[in-house]
Amino acid sequence: MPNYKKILTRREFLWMVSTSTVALSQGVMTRNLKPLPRGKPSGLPFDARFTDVGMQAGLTHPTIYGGTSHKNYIFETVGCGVAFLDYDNDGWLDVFVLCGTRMEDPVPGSTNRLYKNNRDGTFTDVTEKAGLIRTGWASGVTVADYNNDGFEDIFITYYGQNVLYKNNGDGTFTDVTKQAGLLYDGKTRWGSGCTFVDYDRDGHLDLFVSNYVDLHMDRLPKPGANPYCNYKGVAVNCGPRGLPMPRDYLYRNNGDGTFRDVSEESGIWKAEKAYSMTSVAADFSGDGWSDIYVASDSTPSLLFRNKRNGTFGEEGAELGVAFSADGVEQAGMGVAVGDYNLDGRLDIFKTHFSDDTSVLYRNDGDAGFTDVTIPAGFGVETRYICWGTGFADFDNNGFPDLAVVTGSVYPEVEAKFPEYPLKTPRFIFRNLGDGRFEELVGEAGTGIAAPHCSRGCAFGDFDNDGDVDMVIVNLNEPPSLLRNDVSGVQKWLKVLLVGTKSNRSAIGSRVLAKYGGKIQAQAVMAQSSFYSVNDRRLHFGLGVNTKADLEVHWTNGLVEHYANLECNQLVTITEGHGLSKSLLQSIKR
Amino acid sequence: MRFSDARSKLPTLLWMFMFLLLWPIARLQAEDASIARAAQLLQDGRAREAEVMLRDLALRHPGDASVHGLLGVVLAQQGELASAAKEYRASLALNAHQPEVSLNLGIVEFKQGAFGDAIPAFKAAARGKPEDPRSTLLLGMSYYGLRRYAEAVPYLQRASRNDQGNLELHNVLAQSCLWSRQFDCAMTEFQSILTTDPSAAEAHMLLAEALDGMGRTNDAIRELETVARLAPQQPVLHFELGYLYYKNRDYEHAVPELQLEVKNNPGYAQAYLYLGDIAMNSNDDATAEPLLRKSVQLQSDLRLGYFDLGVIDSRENKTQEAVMNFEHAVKLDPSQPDAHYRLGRLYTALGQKTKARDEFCENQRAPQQDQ
Repeated sequence: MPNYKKILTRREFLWMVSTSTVALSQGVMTRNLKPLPRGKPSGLPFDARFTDVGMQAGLTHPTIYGGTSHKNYIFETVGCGVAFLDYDNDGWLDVFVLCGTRMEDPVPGSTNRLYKNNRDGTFTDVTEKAGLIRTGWASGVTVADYNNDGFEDIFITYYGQNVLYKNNGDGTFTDVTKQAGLLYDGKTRWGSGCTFVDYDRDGHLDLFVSNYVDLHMDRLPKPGANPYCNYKGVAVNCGPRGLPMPRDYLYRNNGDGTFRDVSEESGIWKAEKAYSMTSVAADFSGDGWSDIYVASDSTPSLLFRNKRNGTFGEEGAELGVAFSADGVEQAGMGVAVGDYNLDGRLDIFKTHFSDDTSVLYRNDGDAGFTDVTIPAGFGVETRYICWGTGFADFDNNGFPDLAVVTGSVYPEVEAKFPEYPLKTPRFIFRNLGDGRFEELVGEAGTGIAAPHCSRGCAFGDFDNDGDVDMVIVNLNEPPSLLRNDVSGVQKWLKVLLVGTKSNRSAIGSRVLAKYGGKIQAQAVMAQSSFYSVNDRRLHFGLGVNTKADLEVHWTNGLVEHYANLECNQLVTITEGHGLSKSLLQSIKR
Repeated sequence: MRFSDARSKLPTLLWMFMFLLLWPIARLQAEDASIARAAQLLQDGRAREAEVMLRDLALRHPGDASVHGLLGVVLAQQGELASAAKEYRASLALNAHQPEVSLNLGIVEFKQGAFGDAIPAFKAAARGKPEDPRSTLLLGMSYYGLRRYAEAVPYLQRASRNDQGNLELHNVLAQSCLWSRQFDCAMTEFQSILTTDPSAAEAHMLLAEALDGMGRTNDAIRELETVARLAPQQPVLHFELGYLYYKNRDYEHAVPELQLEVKNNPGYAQAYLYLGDIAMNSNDDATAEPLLRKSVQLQSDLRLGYFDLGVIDSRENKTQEAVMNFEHAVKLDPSQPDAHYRLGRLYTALGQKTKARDEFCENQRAPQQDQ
C-alpha cells in the first residue's frame, strides 16, 4: 500500500504525474482544478433578468470566425470583441461588432458591423454608410476621442494590420492608420488587446497595443503535430504554448493626429514577453496616473505601473496580479475592473481556461492585491473556458455583480467528447454584499442560461432604461443582445465625464460614488471585458438610496466633488465646469 | 500478508523455486564415483556429509567445475548462501556455459536480497537456455525487487503468459505496471485478478490506484466503494477513499471518510492534513488550523501542512509566522512554485525586495504546471 512517509505521497505523485501529463500535452495553461462544492443557495432575491433580443433588435449578422467543425489554426479560435459606443453623440448606445473570416470557403459579408441605435430598442446596420466594411481577422477594439474633436474614434487590432478609424462627425469614419504612423514595418503581427490611455497626462490619448503570438503561418505546426497541439487526446490547433511570444507596444500621441512608438523608452519592452490578451488602463494605485494591466495567456499577467515620468515598471508579481494565489500561471483572457467590496479601490477579475477558476484580486492599496478567489466564492466554477467579463450592478442593489461569457475553442473535441461542448452558458456571480459572490445561471434569465460559443462582451444601457444590458459576440452566430429587465424599486445614477484639460473621453478618470454609507469606485476605460469596450457612462446602483455624492478624479489630476445628486438620472460632468445641464440626458424610466 | 506488499512476499515466491537448486544435481555429469556419491548424499538429505566429501574433492580437483557447482548447491541447501555463491562463481569461472549454475547463482543472490547481482546471473542463464521460463520470471522478480518496475514488466508479462493461473504473479506484474505508470497494463492485470477472485479486496484497492493514476478518479472511487462493502476494515481504506473524494473536491463525502480514518488510526497524519486543507478551502480557518498543526506534529515532512498554515497566517496578517511556515514548506520541497510565490509577496510587503525578487525567480524557475 502507499508509502506515505515520503514528502510527496505516492497518490500525490501519481496525481502530479497524470495531471502534469495533461498540462504539458496541451497548448494552454490550466490548473486542472475541479470545482469547489457550492454552498446552500442564499435565497436572496435577484431582481435582474436577461433576455436575448439580438435578432429582433436587428443584430442579425453572424460573427464569422474560423471553421465550425474544426479549426486548424489558433487565430481561428480566439475570436474578437464588441463595443458599446455613441458614435453620433445622440445619447443612445450604438453597437460595433468585430468579425473574422474563414480560411476555407470565405463567407460573403464577413465584416465588422456598426449598428446604429434607433432609440426604440432596435438597430440599423450602417456599416457600409459609415465606411467601416473590412474583412480580416479582427481581435480587439478600443474606442475614445483620440483627437479631442468631440467624436469617438475606433482602433481595431488584427491578425494582420491594425486599423485606426477617425470619426468624421458626420456618421462616417476614415481609415487614418497610415497618416497616424501606425502602419507596420512589413512584418505581420497578431494584435490582441488595445486601449487608449493618457499615460503622460498631456490631455492626448496614447495607445497601448498588446500582441498575442508571434505567428508565422509557414512555421505553424499542424494540429496534433506536437504536445501543444492536443487537447484531451484530440489533435487540435497548436498554441499558444510552443509558439514564440511577441512584445507589446505603446504609442505616444503627438497631439497632431500622429503617434510615435515609445515602447522601448517607456519601459514596456523591459517586461518579460507574454501571450498578451485583453489590456485595461486604469489608475489601480490611486495615485492619479493610469497604470496598464494585461491579461496574459499561459504566462504571467503584466501590471505596468505608471512611474509618473513617462515610463512604466512591470510589477505584476510584486503586486500580486501575475499569478494565481499559489504562484501558478493562468490562461488570462478577459478582465473586469470594479470595486466589489466598496472600499473605494479598483479590484481586478480575470477569466481563464476551463479546469481553472477565474481569479478575483482584491486591491489592498499600498500592499498590492490579494487573490480572494476562494473566499469570494469563485472556486465553484471551473467548467467553462471564460472570456468576456464585467463588473456591473445588474440589479441596482448597490453591490457590483459580475458576468462572464464562455465558449470552447476546440470544436473537434466536442465531436469526440460531448462533455466538452463548444457552446456553453453564460453566468452571473451576484454580489452578496459581504465579500462573497453566488453563481446564478438559470436564475438570471434565459439570455444567461443559453449556450453559445461566446468571446467578447460589452456592458451598457442600450435602451436607456436605467439598468445595465450586455452585448455578446458569438462565434459563427449573430451577437446576443441581453436586455436586462430589473424589477423592484432599486435606484441608480449614471455619470458621463467630458474632459477639457484631460482627454475629452476622460479615459483614465476615476469616480467615487458615495451612497448609504457605502463608497464605490469606477473607472472610465477604453477596453476591458475581452477585447471589448463598455458604455463610457458609469452606472452606479444605489439600492434604496435616493441620493449620492460623487468624487471625480480626472485624468489630469483635478479632483471635483458633487453632493446630493438625485437618483435615476444621467449626470454629465464637464471637467472644471460642473454639471453640464445642456448635456443632461433624460432617461425613459 | 498484505496483498499489495509484494516485496514482503518475495521469499514466498522464492520458495516456489527452491526445487531449482536440486535440478543441477541430476544434470551433473559426474566424472568419478565420488561426485555421484556426494550427489546421492545430498538427495538423501545428508547435506553435511556431502559437503565434507565435496570439499575434499575440490581440494583434489580444483579445476573441476562440476565439483564447485555441486558444492554450491550443498551449501545453499544448508542456508550458507554467501559461501554457495562463491562456489557457483568458482564453477562458472572454470566453465561459463552452465545455465543451471548461473540460475542457481542468481537464486542465492536473490535470496540474499542482492537483486543487482542476481540479474547478470539470470541473464546468463536465460542466454544459455532461452526456452527455460524460470530465468525470465526471476529476472522480472529481481527488477521488481530493485523497484525498477518498467524493466520488470516485460519479463513478468512473459512469465505470466506461461503461468496464467498464478495470481501472485499477476499481482506482482500489476504492481510493476502501476508503479511504472503503465496504467493500461495495470488495469488489465488487476481485472484479471478480480475475474479469478472477485473478493480480492486489496486488488480492488490497487486497481483503484491504477484508475486514479489514469485520471479516472470516479472509477477509482467506485473500486474503493466496493472494498468498503467487501472488507471495510482494510487498512487506510477510509483515507484512500477520503483522499479521492478530496481530490474530486467532493468535500461532503471526503470529510466523513477522513474522519473515520482518524478515528480508526489516530496517528495518521495525512488524514488530519486533508481534513485541514478542506476546512481551509472552505474558509473555515478556525477548524483548519488545529488539524494542520496536528498533521505536521505527527509527520514533520508534510509540505502541504506548512504551506496551508502559512496561508492561514497570511490571512490573519501574522506575517512573520507565515514567512516561517512558507520557508519550512520550501525547505521540504523547493520545486513547488506556490510557497516561493507566497514568500515573494510577503517579502515584498516587508520591504525585503531582494529576497522577494529571488523568490519570484524561484517561482518562475519551478515547472509551471498543475499542482
